[in-house]
Amino acid sequence: MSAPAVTHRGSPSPTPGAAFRPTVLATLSGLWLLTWKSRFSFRQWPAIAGAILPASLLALLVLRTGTNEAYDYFYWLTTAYLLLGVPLYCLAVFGGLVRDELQSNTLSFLMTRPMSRARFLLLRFVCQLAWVQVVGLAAGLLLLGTGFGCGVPGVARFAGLFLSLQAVALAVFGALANLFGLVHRRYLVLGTIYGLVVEVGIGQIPTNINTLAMTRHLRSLLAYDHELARIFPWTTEAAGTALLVLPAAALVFLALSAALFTLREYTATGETMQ
Amino acid sequence: MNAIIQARELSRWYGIVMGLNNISFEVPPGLTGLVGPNGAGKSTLLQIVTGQLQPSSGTLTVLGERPWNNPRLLGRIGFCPEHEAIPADLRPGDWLRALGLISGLSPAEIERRVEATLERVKLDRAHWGRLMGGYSKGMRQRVKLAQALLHEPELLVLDEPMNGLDPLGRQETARLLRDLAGQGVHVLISSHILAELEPLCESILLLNWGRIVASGSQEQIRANLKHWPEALRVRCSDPARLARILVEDDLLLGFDLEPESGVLSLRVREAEAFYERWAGRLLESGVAVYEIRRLDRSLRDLYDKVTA
Repeated sequence: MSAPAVTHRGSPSPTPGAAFRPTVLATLSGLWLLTWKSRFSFRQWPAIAGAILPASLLALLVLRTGTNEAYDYFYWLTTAYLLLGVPLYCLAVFGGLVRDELQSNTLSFLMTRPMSRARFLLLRFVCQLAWVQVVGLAAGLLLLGTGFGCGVPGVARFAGLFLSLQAVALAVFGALANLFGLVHRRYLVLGTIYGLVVEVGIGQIPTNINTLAMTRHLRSLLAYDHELARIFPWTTEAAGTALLVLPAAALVFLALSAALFTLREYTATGETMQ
Repeated sequence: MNAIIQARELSRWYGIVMGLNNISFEVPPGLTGLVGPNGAGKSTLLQIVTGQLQPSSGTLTVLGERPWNNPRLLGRIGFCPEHEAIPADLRPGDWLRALGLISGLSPAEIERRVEATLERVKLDRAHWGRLMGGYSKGMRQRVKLAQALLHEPELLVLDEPMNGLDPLGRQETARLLRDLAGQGVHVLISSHILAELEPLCESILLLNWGRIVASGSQEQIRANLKHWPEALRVRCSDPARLARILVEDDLLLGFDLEPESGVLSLRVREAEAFYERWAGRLLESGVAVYEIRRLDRSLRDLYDKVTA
């Protein structure tokens, strides 16, 4: 025989005001714990290795098969890795910041916690960025080590600038990819179109409009390395603008993402129904 | 008695697909069951209650506040979603610790509650050290319930929490929910199986095609059923004659005759009016009645009827 239905005798709010209000630091700690435990778990090691190793292996291949060692290596390190590989990696990793959780149906566990939607998104981005910076640092050091080991001149002197600019590039392209991910579920297509139109197309136009291209600013800052300035036709002319534009762009992308995430719904049901 | 959840002319559309269609209802304190077939709009409603979706029109308040982007309110709600997904690369303790921090619990409080909550949902201690990706469906349900209970919410919103649980697990969950209700926690629990909720919940919201079909205490719903069409099975000496008389009186929506077995199946237009006149008409007809059986009068019958 089934038990009788429960008759409730409590008041509508037995402990009014008892809800906890997490601080920003508490929320950040919780989200970081989730990121760290899931991203660095044993099962993620192949993915991490897949993100770190290929760039160095290809650099080694370039050094072994190329004719001009310094040009080939730095071309690979800057144009192929930093200005193309890093943005594409960011697109894959940050574009799915919310979408991946949505797809795996785990977003609702976080979205029903006591934090504003904007706070969730920004702190989630910070945690993801911290993880990506660790992976990027490992990949960068390995790449530099490959060049250094093969005796490419100027690698040691370039290391500091390269790693700093990589950190900046990860933050800027990460923020942009995060925005693309929130705008549309086909963020890879969106990001590719952006890359072709803005970074490749508009970025090459020799007027001020090319300040829209983030890779142009990175090139200006890369030109601070004498070896690179000697090899490539890059100048530090617009470096001051680059120092202003890159962080400002990242902040604008994040602000737009936070606003979008606050106004728009992101649920598996909504995705399926639409 | 103050309502925990109040909805006024609430609608939710997904493009041209209707999720909820202009519904108004109140959820009283205590245990309330949200019942309806798959696609009835239960999950949509629960997602609005927990601030994951916004109404397309109308209003919904939970504990007096609107849930969308309302951290203060969300801190008072615990939510257990329907889907089985939980982070595969985490151990339950790590997951609950992280969610505890996000919920604003102190580290010391988290340590105390994580163990207590996992024990409360009866997750075998032997599994605490395993990654959740290897958990069975039942174990996932228990951990999901644990994360909803961790911050001791005032309102617990559970979307199909019995799915995947064995009979013992269902009993244990039902017992846990009764205990919580006894402690003053309000519980809104959804299921597409009425039998799961009928013995557990005093109040029921019956949802179908985005509309509230019936709501209130089980007692109230049963009382309202008096006005619903009803089905009777009558075994008598002359079913054709009895059917003719009842049709002439406009008491029936329809009937089926089985002359060989002397059975007349009736679909009555309005139960109360029918019973007022039934005895008199039966006497006048001179038909001998051997057996009368009422086919649908329970909440379960109503559910079967609306979900058929």
